[in-house]
Amino acid sequence: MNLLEVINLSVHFNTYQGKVEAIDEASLTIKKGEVLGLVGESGCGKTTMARAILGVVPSPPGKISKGEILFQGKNTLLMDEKELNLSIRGKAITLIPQDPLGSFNPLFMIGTQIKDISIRKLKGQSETKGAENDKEKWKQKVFEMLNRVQLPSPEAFLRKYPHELSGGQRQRIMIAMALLTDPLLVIADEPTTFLDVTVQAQILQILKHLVRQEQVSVLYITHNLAVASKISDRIMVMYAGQVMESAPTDSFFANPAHPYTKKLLECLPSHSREIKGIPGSVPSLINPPQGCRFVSRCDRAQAQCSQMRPAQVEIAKDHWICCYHPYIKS
Amino acid sequence: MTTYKIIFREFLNDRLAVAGLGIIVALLLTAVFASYLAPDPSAIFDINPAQKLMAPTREHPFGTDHMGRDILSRIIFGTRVTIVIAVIAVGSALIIGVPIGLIAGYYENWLSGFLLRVSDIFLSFPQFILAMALAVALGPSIENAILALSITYWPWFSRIVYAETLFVKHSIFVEATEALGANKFRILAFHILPNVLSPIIVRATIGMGYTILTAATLGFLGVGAQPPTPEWGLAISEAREYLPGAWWFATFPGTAIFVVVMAFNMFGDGLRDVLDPRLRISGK
Repeated sequence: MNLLEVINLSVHFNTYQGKVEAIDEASLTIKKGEVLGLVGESGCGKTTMARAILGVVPSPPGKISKGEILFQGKNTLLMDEKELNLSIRGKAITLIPQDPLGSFNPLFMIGTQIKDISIRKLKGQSETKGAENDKEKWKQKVFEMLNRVQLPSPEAFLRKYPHELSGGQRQRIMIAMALLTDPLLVIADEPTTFLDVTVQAQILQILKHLVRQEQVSVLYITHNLAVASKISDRIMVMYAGQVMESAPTDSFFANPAHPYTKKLLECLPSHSREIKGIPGSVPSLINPPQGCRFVSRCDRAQAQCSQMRPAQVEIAKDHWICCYHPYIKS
Repeated sequence: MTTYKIIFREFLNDRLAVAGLGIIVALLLTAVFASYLAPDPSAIFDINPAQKLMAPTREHPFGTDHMGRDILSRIIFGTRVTIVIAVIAVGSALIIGVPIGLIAGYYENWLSGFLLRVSDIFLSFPQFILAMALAVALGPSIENAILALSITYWPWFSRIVYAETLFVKHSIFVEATEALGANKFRILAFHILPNVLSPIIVRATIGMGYTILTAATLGFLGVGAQPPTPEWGLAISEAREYLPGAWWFATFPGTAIFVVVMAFNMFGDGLRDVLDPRLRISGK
């Protein structure tokens, strides 16, 4: 069964310049225990997607104009704030944010901020007896989790302020916090972007390991295809608010079918050939092109492409693309 | 813990601020123990025409006023009036202004616009004239002076808190807290408010001095404290007729106002330097 199903989601922002169509009928599904890598350039709607799933699209100016978000079969867009706060946000769906320093409140010790989550958790589970007992258990769990993200001597960390830790340590704590409430889905919004490559590799390792152990599903948002390939079971590419291609990781790298994906892969640095860019730039999302939004930068584009959006087609098992003229080996 | 130590040490290096704090502490102690400190506590209200307008002597170090009351005792008891006015006025301005600033800054809807425009309307009147008009309209008394001061002072707080909230609410940790499912009240009270506290504390401290000055002015103009309250501004007003002969009658209450307002300003400046280094003006 699909844990999360986003169906034809459209999100726009009303700005002074006009209506920015940030996400245009994008769909995605995440199965239980699956890691979906959501890849795309800056401004393609990755983070907006994450926010929509958590129900925290800033509104105004943002507005979800169309679509459904089914989490365990229930449409979260129809839930009220209270229900979202109690059962979804920070509980069933947690977030590992991009900037581990900015995401901590600078005024409170790490321990205090972890405790804040535990209060929610305890409230939700057993309000009646054995609260003290629960507290002890919870403390154990926090320590255990901090050990599992490879932070030795957790007691010392709990008494520190966010600015006293290194980027890697902060991000590990963020990961531990995201996994503390036994979530079903973790949204990781480029959690390694701000880190050194060496630390990046460690963090990815830890995250991957924990995800396998805990059997949680992950929506891993990144602009880095290499990172996505390391962690994801499936990869989905977005461009200017539209989904371009979605495929199992192996199939994705072996047979990229969408012209955009193909070009994106050519942008990866490598020994053997020169790095290519993609000429042109992302179209303005105010009055974007009618059809496929990649049309202005695509070699294979024809008249048809700019008139109507191509429908999603399955070209191989579980390999979906939105393109009239894909690269398909015949 | 270390952060507080650093702040404390830095504060101690600022001699003026420490002096200001010392005077404020002395003021508070004086107010609390007024009945023990005053040489003649019974005589602050008692009229004694035989002793009127006596120059400072050993018995009356600051002299006596036109009703023969000991001026030193009246100044000592005046600290109570002063502190009550300042604390209540600034306190209520905080209670009104801070939540309005937080709400106006956090939400981006009609309510926020409405609250800001109301603050603007209050700010567009000269504060002192408005306080005076209110005090006159409601009838001259200490209570009404306090009310007038609170009503005219809160927009300053709401403006500062609004500006700071606008800045803090876009912090990533606020977004992260929203994503964790914290409700709006929690975000405002436990995450944004502590982050905007420094400018509030600084403004409130300087505001104390300002409020004491304004209250004294209202008393001087006859729309604040009424006789026979031992209020400093009122005392200066009463002394006018006897100047320059009975110089001590106006000089000592005036000095008291000056010293206390100065102390709050020095303390507030010192606090600002350590709490809000962005606004530091002294060339350190």
